[in-house]
Amino acid sequence: MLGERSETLVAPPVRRPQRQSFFRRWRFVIGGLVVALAIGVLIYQGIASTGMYYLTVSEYKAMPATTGAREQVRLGGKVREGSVQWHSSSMTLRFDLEDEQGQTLPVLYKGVLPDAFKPGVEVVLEGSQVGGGVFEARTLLTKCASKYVPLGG
Amino acid sequence: MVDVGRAALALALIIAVFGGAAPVLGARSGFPELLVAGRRAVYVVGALVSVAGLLLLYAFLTHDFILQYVAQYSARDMALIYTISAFWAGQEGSLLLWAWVLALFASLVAWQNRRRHPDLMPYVQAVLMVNQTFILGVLVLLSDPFAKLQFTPADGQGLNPLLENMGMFFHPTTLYLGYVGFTVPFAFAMAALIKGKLGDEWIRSTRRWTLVAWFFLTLGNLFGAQWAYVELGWGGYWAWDPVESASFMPWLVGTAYLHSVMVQQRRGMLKVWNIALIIATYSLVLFGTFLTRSGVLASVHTFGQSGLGPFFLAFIGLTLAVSLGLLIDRLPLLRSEHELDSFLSRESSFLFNNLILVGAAFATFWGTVFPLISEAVRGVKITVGAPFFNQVNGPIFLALIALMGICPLISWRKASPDNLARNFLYPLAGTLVLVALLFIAGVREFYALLAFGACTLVATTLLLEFFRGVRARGRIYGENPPRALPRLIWHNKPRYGGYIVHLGVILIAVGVAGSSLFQAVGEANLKPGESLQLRQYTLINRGVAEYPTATRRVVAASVDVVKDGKVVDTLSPAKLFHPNYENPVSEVAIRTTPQEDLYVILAGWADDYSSATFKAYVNPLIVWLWIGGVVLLLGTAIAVWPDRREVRQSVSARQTVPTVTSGLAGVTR
Repeated sequence: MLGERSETLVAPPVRRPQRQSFFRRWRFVIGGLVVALAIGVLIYQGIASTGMYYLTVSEYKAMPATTGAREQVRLGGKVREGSVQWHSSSMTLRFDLEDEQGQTLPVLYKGVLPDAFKPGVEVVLEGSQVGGGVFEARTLLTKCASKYVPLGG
Repeated sequence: MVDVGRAALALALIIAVFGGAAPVLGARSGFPELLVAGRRAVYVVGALVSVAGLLLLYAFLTHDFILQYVAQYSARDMALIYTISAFWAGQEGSLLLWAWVLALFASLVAWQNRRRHPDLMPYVQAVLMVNQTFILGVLVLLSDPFAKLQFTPADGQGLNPLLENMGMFFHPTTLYLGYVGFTVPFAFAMAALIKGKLGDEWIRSTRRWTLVAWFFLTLGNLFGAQWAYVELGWGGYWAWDPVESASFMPWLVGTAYLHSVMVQQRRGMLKVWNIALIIATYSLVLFGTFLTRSGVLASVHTFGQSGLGPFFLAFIGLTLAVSLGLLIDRLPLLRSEHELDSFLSRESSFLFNNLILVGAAFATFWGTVFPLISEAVRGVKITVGAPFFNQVNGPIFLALIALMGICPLISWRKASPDNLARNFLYPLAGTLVLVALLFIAGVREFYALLAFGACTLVATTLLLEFFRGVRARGRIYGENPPRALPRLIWHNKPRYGGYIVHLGVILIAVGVAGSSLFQAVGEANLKPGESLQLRQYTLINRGVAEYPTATRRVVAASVDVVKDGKVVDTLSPAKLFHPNYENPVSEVAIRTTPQEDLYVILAGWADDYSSATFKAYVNPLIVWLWIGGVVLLLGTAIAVWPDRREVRQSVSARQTVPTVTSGLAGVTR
């Protein structure tokens, strides 16, 4: 048959029945476990180093300062109406993040605004607390529904 | 008209129930009439769902806005192609599309096998019809695409402009074809379990279905990535959003399945594993639909959160319980015919490839549902994002690529040292040379060297395989290489098609590695005449202007791209304002070259247009991702292409001496 290499047509060596050692018998289970363990370690490390609390403003404020106020966290909430200040030449945005309990948190963000950003929209922020109780967001995502929402509807 | 569509769905639901029950009753009680009636019922369901689908399509084309769904997702001024794609822009239409594809697939399966597999087919049909019943039940009872408004609006609300892209015409359709396609091998696996016929008959008869489903699932993912890249305007193509993970997980496990069935056909091993994989693939398909439809996870594109979540969850639970229950019950029948001989064998490298693919799927799954798990277990929501998936999946995929290079080089059963030395010499040498060259050229990133090294290993391995095949044909038939290469591929379609798929994967890996490891990004607020420097490019703002078009208002910038002191291109990134959509839509400008993409976004501007904000990315090598996608699909098409010799081989291969150990016989069935 074409494409076959000649060495593959050699008859297999006859296997003498012999007692297999512990390693020989279990090596595939061991190999599989090693792979599984390696992936497990990767997942564990990944979560430990990149996992972030996902909090509302109230939850964030309720957290004791020692456990994570300085840590990177992810905050979800609404952009409070009337709080948005956008300075286009320095690309600096300030607004208040608001949750359903009415708690607010001043936010500072530098960078490009997503298309769907506007007062009242739901956003997800990633960042940490800086001085003066201001939350500095590294990233700002808007939650836009794929479902079409009519204007003024 | 509209009521006809609804009636067709309701009738199809009832007949689907009959179509599922009749063949099983027929097989158990020995009434062949029931078998025939059951098969006809499947055809009737196919016809009825087609009627419903065509009616909805007709309603879209004729702008029949009395239908709530049509009014919600289309408008009179929409281009024809988007009017058609509005069919699956929302939940009801998506589910109808699913039901339609499933009904057509079920009919095709019934027709293909009308004289084949008389023992399996009743159960295959039953499983297909259970799924059909579920989806039709949801359509009829919970999510009616034919719901009417109280009055007929003058115009519809139109499509979300983000969906007005060719990618959104093909992405959902291909994804659904892939999703639904996996129902067929799943149904055959279940039938094999029920009948206890657990040889490779069920695998052989679904090989082509599996490949076609995989083809479409791959295509769907690629179209999704392409759409995200050109339309969403954030410089990337893959964000590890739950919705993306949802379609990537079945792809990973489905890929593992494609490989492990070869081991069963070839050596009669991994039987339990294969059934477990197809169960996992199908459950992940359902889970993906559940994720996108339930809104349990925060996604950037949360689809309309509907009440369908619990129903999907219940159906997934039912599917898993029944299929795993059956699998455990049939375990004694699933004994391996052989044992693994050696670590250094083709089958063991397949096994590890499988473990790694499933591991990647598990890591993706874990990261996706982790917020739910942490909330349930610890009471706090901990989320992981793209950094987690990249950090975890990066090494996993590297290992996978390395294994892709090794796998075709190792013979079945047990590789001899001679075999290894001969096969590995050139690929390893090539890899070392390339890594050394990259190092000298100044690439010092450990990951990059590893990734490009692994890619070279695979590429040289594959090219060597082609080279050897061509040389063998030259020796035997005296053909010159340009003549021998196409013949080589054409006469061993599954094998060389598979190799071409691997080449495509390598090109994709090169694109992914290049664009994620060497991406550069810059942003600046520029007055006209001012410039932004990014790598070797200088971007000069030539001014921003606003102008109306027939359907929308456009704000566009003109940006000169200067490279090596010359203006090489003028780009015009823009934002579009649609009259009936609240947010502007970024229209990015992309300059593609084989080395890299320059990707420019107009992010904002001063009210008097005296300055504008730009964000620009340099994405190295990214075009190879799309080229790799085309190569991969081409390879799959070759592997799927009907082969006259297939039937003959499938009969003879079982009797072949098991030491004929190229990949050839194993993959041709």
